[in-house]
Amino acid sequence: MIKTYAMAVHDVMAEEMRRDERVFIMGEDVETLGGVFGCTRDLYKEFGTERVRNTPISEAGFVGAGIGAACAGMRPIVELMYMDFTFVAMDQILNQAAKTRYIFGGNAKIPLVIRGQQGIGRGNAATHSQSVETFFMHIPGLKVACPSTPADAAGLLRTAIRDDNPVMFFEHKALYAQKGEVPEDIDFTIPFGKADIKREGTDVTIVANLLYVGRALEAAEILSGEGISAEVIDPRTLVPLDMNTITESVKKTGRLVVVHEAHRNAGWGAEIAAQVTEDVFPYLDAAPIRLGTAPCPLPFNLGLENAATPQVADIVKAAKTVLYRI
Amino acid sequence: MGEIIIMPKQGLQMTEGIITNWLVNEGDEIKEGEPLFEMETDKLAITIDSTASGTLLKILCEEDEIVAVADPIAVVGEPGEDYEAILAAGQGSTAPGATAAEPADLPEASQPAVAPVTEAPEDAGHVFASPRAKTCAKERGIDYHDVPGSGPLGMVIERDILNAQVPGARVPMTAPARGEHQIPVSNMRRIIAQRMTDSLNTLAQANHRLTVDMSAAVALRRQLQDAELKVSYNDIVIRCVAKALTEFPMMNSTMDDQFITTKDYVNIGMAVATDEGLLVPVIRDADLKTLPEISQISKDLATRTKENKLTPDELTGGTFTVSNLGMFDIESFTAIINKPEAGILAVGKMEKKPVVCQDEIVIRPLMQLSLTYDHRIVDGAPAALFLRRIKQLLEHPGLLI
Repeated sequence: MIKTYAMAVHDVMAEEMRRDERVFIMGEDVETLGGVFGCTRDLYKEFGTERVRNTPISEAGFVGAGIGAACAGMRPIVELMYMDFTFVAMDQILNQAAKTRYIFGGNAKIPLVIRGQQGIGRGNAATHSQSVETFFMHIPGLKVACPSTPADAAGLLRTAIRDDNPVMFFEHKALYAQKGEVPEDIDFTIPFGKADIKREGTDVTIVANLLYVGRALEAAEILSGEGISAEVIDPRTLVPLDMNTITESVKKTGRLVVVHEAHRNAGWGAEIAAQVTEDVFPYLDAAPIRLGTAPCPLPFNLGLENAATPQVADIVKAAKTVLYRI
Repeated sequence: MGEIIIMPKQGLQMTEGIITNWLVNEGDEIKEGEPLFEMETDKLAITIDSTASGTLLKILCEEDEIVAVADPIAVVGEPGEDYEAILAAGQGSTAPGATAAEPADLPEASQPAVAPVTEAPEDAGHVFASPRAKTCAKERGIDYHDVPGSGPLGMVIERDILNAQVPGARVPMTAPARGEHQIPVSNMRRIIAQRMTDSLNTLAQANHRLTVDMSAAVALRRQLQDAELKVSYNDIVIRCVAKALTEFPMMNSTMDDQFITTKDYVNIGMAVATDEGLLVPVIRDADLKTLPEISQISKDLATRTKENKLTPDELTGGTFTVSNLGMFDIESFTAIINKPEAGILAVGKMEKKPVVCQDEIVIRPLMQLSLTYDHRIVDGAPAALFLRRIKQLLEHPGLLI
C-alpha cells in the first residue's frame, strides 16, 4: 500500500498498540492534536487518553517516566517533538535508559522507544534543525535507527517497539510527506544491523542516511550520466551497524564517500571511514571522503541552511574526487 | 644547467622509435619549440621540436638506431659544459622517474619529454601507490614501481595498474578472485556498435582477397625517400585506391531505395584506432592529390585524431574507406563497410616471402588486400576487376603518373 512516511509511523504504532496492550505513547501534544507532525493523529479515539498521553513540556521528566514504565513491564513509545530536545533528557537517556539493564545484571529490561523528528528543511533554526543521531552511537546500551523511506520507517519502527532494549528512533521532518510502498503485513519488520543497498554500483560507494539517501541517489543518477557507477548504501541502523555490507562494497569499488546531515566533524561518517580504513585498507584506491554539515549552528535562513549542508553537487564532486576524475 | 632529452612516447603502443634525421648538429644552438629531429615509429613519421634551449652538447643516438621510449637521446646545456656529468647526474636521479616521465594517458603531444636534472626531487626513489593499486599490482604480478602514476603527486592508482602492460609480468601465485565487471557503454562505443550492426544487417557484404607483390612500391618509396619525401605504404595504397575508384564509379557510390548515386569526387576515409575507439577521418579529393600531398594530409589527420582535435567535417563525407592492420602483424582480414559507402579495403602486413617467378624461387615483399563490397550495388566480377586494378597499380606505380 502506498503511504507517506508519517502514515507509516502512525499505522505501525496503531497496529502494535492493538497487538500488545503494554504498548502506549506519551509526549507533548500527542493526544487530541495528534502530534505536531500528525504521527499520532486520532490514535486517542481508538486507544483512549490513558494510552495516548499528553505530557508537560519537561523532557527529562517524561523520558524518565518512560524508563520507569519500561522497567515496570510496559513498552512505552516516548515522542519528542524535536529530537534536539533529547539534550534536555540526556541524563535519563545516557545514564539511565542505556545502563539500567547492565547495572542490574540483566534483571531489568528497558523496552523503550524514544522517537521523533529532526533535521533541516523547514528553516526551524539552530535549536530545531539539528541531526543528533551520532551522539547516541557513542554510548553503549542504546540502539539507533534512522529510516529513509516509508517502508524502512514501518519495518524499523515495528522492530524497535518489539525490542526489549532502548531504541533511539530518528525520523526526518523533510521525509514525512514522502510516499512509498509499505507492506501491509502487520508483522513486517526490518532487522536491525542490516544495511540496505539502495542502488548497486561498481565505481564508488556512497553511504548516507535519512534525507541524504535521496540526495545520494540523485548524485548517483548524475554520475551515471558521466559513466560513473555509484553504489548507494543506507546503514538504516547506526547501532547495531552493518559494517560488513559497507566493507564488501568498498572491496568492490575501492572508493568511499560518506554523507550525512549530522555535522561533519566527529560525525558518524568519521566512524565508518575509520572502520573501513582499518578493515579493508588494501582495497582503498583513495582516502575516504566525509561530507556533513559545516561546524556552525544551523541558520534560520533557508539559503544559508543550504550553504551549511551538503548539496547533491557536493556529493557528485566528492565521488569524482575519490575516482581522480576531477 | 643541463637537460637530458629522452625518446618521447608518440602513442600508447609505441615502445621504441628510430631517429631518422638530426636537424641540429652537436655544438649548435637550439631554442625551445624549434625542430630538433625527425623520427619514425611503426605507425608514423614525425618531426619533433625541442623543449629545451641551449647548446646541443651531445647526440647520444645515431640516425637509424632503434631507441627505446624514455632512453636518453641527447644532452642540452651551456657551451663547454661536460655532458657526461649531466648525464651521470641525470641517470642517477631520474632513472626511477624515467618511466614516470611517460605520461600514461596524456594525449601524445609532439614534444620530447625532458628530464630536468636540477629539479629532481630528493626522494625520487620513492614511488607512492594507493593501497588498492599495490594489492592490484600484487595480484597481477606487476611491480608497481615500474608503473607511471597518474594520481595526485604522481601516486600510482588502480587504473594505472589496470592500464599497465608490463612485459614478462609474473603469473600470479594465487589466482585473484575472478568476477564480472560492468563497464558503462560510452557514447562513442554505442555509435560504433549501432553503425557496425546496421552495416552488417542492411548491406549484402561480400569479400574478395588477393596478394600484391610490393617490390615496385618499395622501390617507389625509396626513390621518394632519396628525394626527401616521406610516404608510408598506406599512403601509396590510398593513392592507388583513389585512382582505381575514378575508373570504377560503382565502387564510389551510395544506394538508396530508388537510386544508386555515383560521386565525381573521391574522398577516402582512413581508419584510425584511438583509445576511445575507431575513428575514420577523411582525405578529400584523394584522386586529385599527389602522393606526397596524401602523405602530409594522412600524417596530420592521424596525429590530430589521436589528439582528439578533429573537426566533425573531417570525419564525414567519405566515399570509400581504407583500413590497415599491418602494423599489428595481421596478414589479412575482413573489414565492415562504413555506411553509406559501397566498399572498404582491408590492408594486411607487408612481408618478405618466397615466391615462384619465372620458375625460380625468389624473395618478394608481399601484401594481402581484402575488399569488402556491397553486393547489392556491385557484382562479384566487377568487384574483382576493381581489386585487380588496385593490385596492378601497386605493382606498376608508374601508372599513377
